[in-house]
Amino acid sequence: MILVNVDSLSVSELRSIAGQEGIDGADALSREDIISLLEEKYGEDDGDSDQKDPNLRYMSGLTDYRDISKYVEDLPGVEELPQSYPDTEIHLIKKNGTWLYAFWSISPNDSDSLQDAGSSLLLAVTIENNGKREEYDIPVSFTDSEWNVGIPYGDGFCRVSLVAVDKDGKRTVLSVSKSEDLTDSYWLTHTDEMKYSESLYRLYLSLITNKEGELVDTPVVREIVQLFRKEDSRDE
Amino acid sequence: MNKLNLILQAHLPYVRHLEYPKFLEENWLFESLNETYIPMLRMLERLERDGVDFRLTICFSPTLVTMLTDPALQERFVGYMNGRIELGELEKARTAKDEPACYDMACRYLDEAQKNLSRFEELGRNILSGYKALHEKNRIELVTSAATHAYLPLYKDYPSAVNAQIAMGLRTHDRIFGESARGFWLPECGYYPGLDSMLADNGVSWCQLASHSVITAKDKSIYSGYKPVELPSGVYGFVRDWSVTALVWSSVSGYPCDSDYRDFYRDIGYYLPMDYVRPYIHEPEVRVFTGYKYHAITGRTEDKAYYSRPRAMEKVALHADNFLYSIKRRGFTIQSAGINDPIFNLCFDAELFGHRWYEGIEFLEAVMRKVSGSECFAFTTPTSIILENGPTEKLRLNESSWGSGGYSDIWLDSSNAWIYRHIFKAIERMEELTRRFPDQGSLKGRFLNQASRELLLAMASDWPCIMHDGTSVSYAEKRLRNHLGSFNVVYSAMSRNTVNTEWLINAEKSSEIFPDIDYHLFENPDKE
Repeated sequence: MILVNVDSLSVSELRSIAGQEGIDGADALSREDIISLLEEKYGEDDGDSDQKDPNLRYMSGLTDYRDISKYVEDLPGVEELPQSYPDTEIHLIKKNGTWLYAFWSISPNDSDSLQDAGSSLLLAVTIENNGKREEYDIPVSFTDSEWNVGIPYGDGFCRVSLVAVDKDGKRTVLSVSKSEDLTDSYWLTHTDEMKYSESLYRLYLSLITNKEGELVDTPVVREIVQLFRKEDSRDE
Repeated sequence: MNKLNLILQAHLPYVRHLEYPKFLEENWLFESLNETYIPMLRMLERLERDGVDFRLTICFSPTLVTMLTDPALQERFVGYMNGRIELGELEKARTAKDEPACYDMACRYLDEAQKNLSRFEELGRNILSGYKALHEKNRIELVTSAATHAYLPLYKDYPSAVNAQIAMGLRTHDRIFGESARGFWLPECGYYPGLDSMLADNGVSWCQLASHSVITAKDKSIYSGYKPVELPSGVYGFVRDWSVTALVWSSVSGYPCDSDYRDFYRDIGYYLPMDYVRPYIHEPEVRVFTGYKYHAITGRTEDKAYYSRPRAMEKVALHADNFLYSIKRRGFTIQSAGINDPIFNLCFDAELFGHRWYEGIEFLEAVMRKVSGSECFAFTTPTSIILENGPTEKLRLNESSWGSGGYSDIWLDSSNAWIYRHIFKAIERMEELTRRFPDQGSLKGRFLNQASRELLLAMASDWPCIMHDGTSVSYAEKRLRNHLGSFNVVYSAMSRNTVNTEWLINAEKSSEIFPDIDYHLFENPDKE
């Protein structure tokens, strides 16, 4: 089952996932086509586009003036932003409890010299969770500049390095991101206490459940609630 | 006793385009003034006159207070209201003749517009003075937010920028209201571990938090958000009650969805003949909301019934009763779990009441009147709760927000992720400028101050949120590009140690916000 909103992934990531899922010729497909194929594969399209998410905020507060943006296009002083900056660096931002967003840039000088030398690039991901360290690589191309990195819940951190690998396999770290903490929740790790905490559990639910019995739309909450229910059913 | 801690957030992005005779997005402010901020003030003043015992907290964001106290925008609002009143006179005549079922509402809209304009003028065109008067009577706690309502968790790697947002927000509140704010509305309820320390360093006592922050906390919560959370820095957090707020907030089953309430979208600006509405819409012929709306929500149909004000008011009374009944029932359950006097933290966008939900202000009024003198309920404010020295619990929380998904997905998705590459670079460059030019006065100081102003405006959460929602995307993107482009003008010039004076004067004129800004706000002590 897909665990991320495919709309939020880059074309490279989508192609990579499509390849893993056995979709042929994904490299030649457009972003929209890949999303549509993936959605079909994962059965995400529920066929009821009118059904609104009950957990959405009621309104953003800003009025939508409906497709009239062309009338404000002559705003003065609109300037083009640089395509890239002359620095080699990588950043990591937390998107949610299970995904981080990495983006990077390579200075034109670095990029030219690395490509002239026939080097390749990769993201070296380090995840330390509850004292255990996991490290793996994600190959990227010189045209890539962003990637979503999946992370587990736990007590620890994730860090991503941008690494050049030369023809002999020698690795050179070009830039290292700051660390992002993992989501570390008491109830994800204290399941043994759950069966003794029924009244507390009900109290928690009372704050985050609407009158239809639906939970606030947060994956980690759903995970905790499932754990409570599992412990509860184990007693029966 | 159930304590109701109502916190309203009034925020709009900074929109001011005096270079145009009329500018479409300025209507965001004018509509909210006429439909929420002024009617809400009039309602609260009415309660005060009637001796109703009420309390609430309102956060007026720094960008909003800047616009509300801007003489040029005040003047433009008067023009907007005169147009609305003129259309009201026409509507009275038209409906009397052609659409009698709408006549009463046409009269009502006209009457409300006249009263709102009259109150606006009585207050010297500064409605904040009316809210401040209620604050001085201990009815309202007034608080502030981040300078441009930046979504702070995404900037946690840049403490100087987060601090600039906090400090400039507090400074603006102080300048406008003449006193320090004790509370700080976290934009979008966006919290990350460590943010509370920065609030504490700036003298803040409390903030509000997302509803799921307690069940997902790093520590075991006993009070489940029904008592204040003491964050590691000592700042208190008030956890939003999603269950109760969803009674109003839900876009599917909330009270505002009731079929008898007035429909937001069916506006004469969109369906009456162009020749009739042309003077009251946007030039040349862009149909927009005029505020004259005569239909009820009815249901999922294009065939809308006419709005009946008496029927809608009956529903307001029913919904106010149901709201309090739901809280009372919840109160019994919570107290049976051993938590006495639970606090229900009810956080809403202010514009929901009146603007989006036409009857919302009457709903608030009905709830406040019913609570006054009640033995079961009492309205309160965060600072009152803190001063009572009641029970609290220390908790370490994870990152969270009130956005869909509970984290940062709205402000960081495929539609808007590209902006952070540019904003982060601008922050790094601003920090660099503060190091290279530590003591600049006069013209260069003003130039650097303008760079800080542009950077803060680029950081506003509104731009990525609009990109995510797919509404007015072009405007949001242009604004962001303009602010970052302007920042780059300063950076490039200062890299050559020069000042573009003509550019500076024009830029200062177009962004009359944060007059007391000081570029040293962006100093990063870690990079000395």
